[in-house]
Amino acid sequence: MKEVFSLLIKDSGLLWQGILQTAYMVSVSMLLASLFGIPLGIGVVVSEEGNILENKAINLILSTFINITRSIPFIILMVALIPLTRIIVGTSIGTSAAVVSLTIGAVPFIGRIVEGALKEVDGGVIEAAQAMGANPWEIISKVLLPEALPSLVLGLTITAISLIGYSAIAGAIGAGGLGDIAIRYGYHRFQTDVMIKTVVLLVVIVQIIQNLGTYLARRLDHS
Amino acid sequence: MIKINNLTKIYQSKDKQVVAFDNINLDIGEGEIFGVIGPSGAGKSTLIRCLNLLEEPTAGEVIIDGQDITKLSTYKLREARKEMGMIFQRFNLLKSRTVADNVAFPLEIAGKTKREITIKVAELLELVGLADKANNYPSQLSGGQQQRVGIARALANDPKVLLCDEATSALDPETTHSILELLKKINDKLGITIVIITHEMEVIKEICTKVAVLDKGTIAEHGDVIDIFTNPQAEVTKRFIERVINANVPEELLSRVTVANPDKGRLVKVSFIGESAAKPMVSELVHNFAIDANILYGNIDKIQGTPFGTLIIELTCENPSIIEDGINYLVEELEVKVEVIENEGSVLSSN
Ligand SMILES: Nc1ncnc2c1ncn2[C@@H]1O[C@H](COP(=O)(O)OP(=O)(O)OP(=O)(O)O)[C@@H](O)[C@H]1O
Ligand SMILES: [Mg+2]
Repeated sequence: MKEVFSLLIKDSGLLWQGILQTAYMVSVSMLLASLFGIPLGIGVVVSEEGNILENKAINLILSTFINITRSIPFIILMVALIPLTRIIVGTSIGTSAAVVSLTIGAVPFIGRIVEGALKEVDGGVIEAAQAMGANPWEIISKVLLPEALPSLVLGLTITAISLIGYSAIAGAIGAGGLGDIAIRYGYHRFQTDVMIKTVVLLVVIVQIIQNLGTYLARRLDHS
Repeated sequence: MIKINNLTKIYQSKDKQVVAFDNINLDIGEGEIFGVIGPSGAGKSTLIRCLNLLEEPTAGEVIIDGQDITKLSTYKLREARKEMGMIFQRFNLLKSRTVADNVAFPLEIAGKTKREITIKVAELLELVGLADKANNYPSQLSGGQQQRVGIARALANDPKVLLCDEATSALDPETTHSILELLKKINDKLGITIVIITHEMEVIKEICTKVAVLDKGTIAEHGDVIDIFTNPQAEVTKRFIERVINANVPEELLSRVTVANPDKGRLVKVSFIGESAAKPMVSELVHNFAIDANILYGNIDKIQGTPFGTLIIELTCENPSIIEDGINYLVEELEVKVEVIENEGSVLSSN
């Protein structure tokens, strides 16, 4: 009994640090990516043909940007971004360095998710707002975003979970976090128990985020 | 209030063009409840959407309260739209907002203060009979209740015009009736001009004062509802009217009724409007002419409170010429329309 317990807490300091690093990478890149990704998604939708701010050129530019960046595998994006990362955070390794590539990788991801969520909004409701004399900004802020909120929350939940996965990949090139621990201890040093613990932790964290997101989306959904 | 001049809408796609309607002229007076009816694809929805420029007309003018809205800047157009309410077939409420917040939406757009909004919303919900549902979400309401919210929302900025695009088409007959009653009450109380698009003659019959019949992108005829109903000219109008006023006797009835003794009897179809309906037609025939009048079929309806109907009467008398006198009496004295029905159901008009 005592042995089992000591086995469980053996690496707790290390694992706790891993959790904090993962949480840091995911939350900061999530925040930064939303800051750019949400406007990007809105821009793609409203500039579409027949939409409230129709603009073919802008629509083409934005959707091409999303398509291209979305099609680059994350591991390659990360390597390709090393020079940029050096400029921004001064180093290409560590959690802060990972945040740069995670953010840039997540921007088009969020853009696409926002685009999908906003397109689900009933065109009739937008038309009703137009008939009431709402301007494009009012339609975006009072109709599109609030009406799409439940899908947006679900989409951002998926993004956060994907970022946990990507942060583990980033761990492979020395970014820290749970992925880094799993690779260093489990793969290089054959400490299977550490690897199992990190895997269990990752599963638990993903579950918590998913359930939280689903719960929130359901609370917000009045349809 | 609304003047439509030479309005044309053509949908242009790459390889073909669809003419939704062509060169429409209409004059809708202040305080009228103006109905536009027509078969599917006639261009009704396109027409009403051109009235607030949700759809941009290809040519022509839409003059609302003296102002040609097709010539307004984007900003001015938005301001003009705040003076017009619109309700929709599928209600188009925001599902993320409560009933009260849905009604508040146009007030927010118009830049009203929180205090003004609270007062106005309560007033509007009272008007449409939904004060107790203020904090419910649209998904918790029935279709009829959702349309009431739509109406409250459309009235929020005290518009001069209310546009209704198939506002009752998604509702059952009873709910339709109650929504139409509400629109009528609003028209009475607020004097607001209402334009109603519908494919149901019931709707026209129940509340409209004026009607235009749209068919294949042109106006087949228009005028007072009572005139159009009692004296339809266009084929399409007749078809619509038949659907609500059974002026046409059911086929199987016609094939069944044959006068017992063709020499001494006549089968007539009597159509009447207004006052004459109240007159004791049958008893006068019996008393003044000693004609036996046997009602085989009857149908009475009301348009805007005016009775309107059809009777199929079998007239029998020993002397056939007296029957002719009786028919003449009906036509001349009672001012009803009489048609003599030959056997096998064909109708011979006698006047
Ligand atoms: N966006 C559009 N692009 C191309 N053609 C259109 C468009 N909207 C409508 N039309 C065409 O214009 C014509 C009139 O359509 P409209 O929707 O106004 O008819 P309607 O009288 O409202 O019919 P319904 O009773 O079925 O609603 C139809 O032939 C339709 O196919
Ligand atoms: Mg229509």
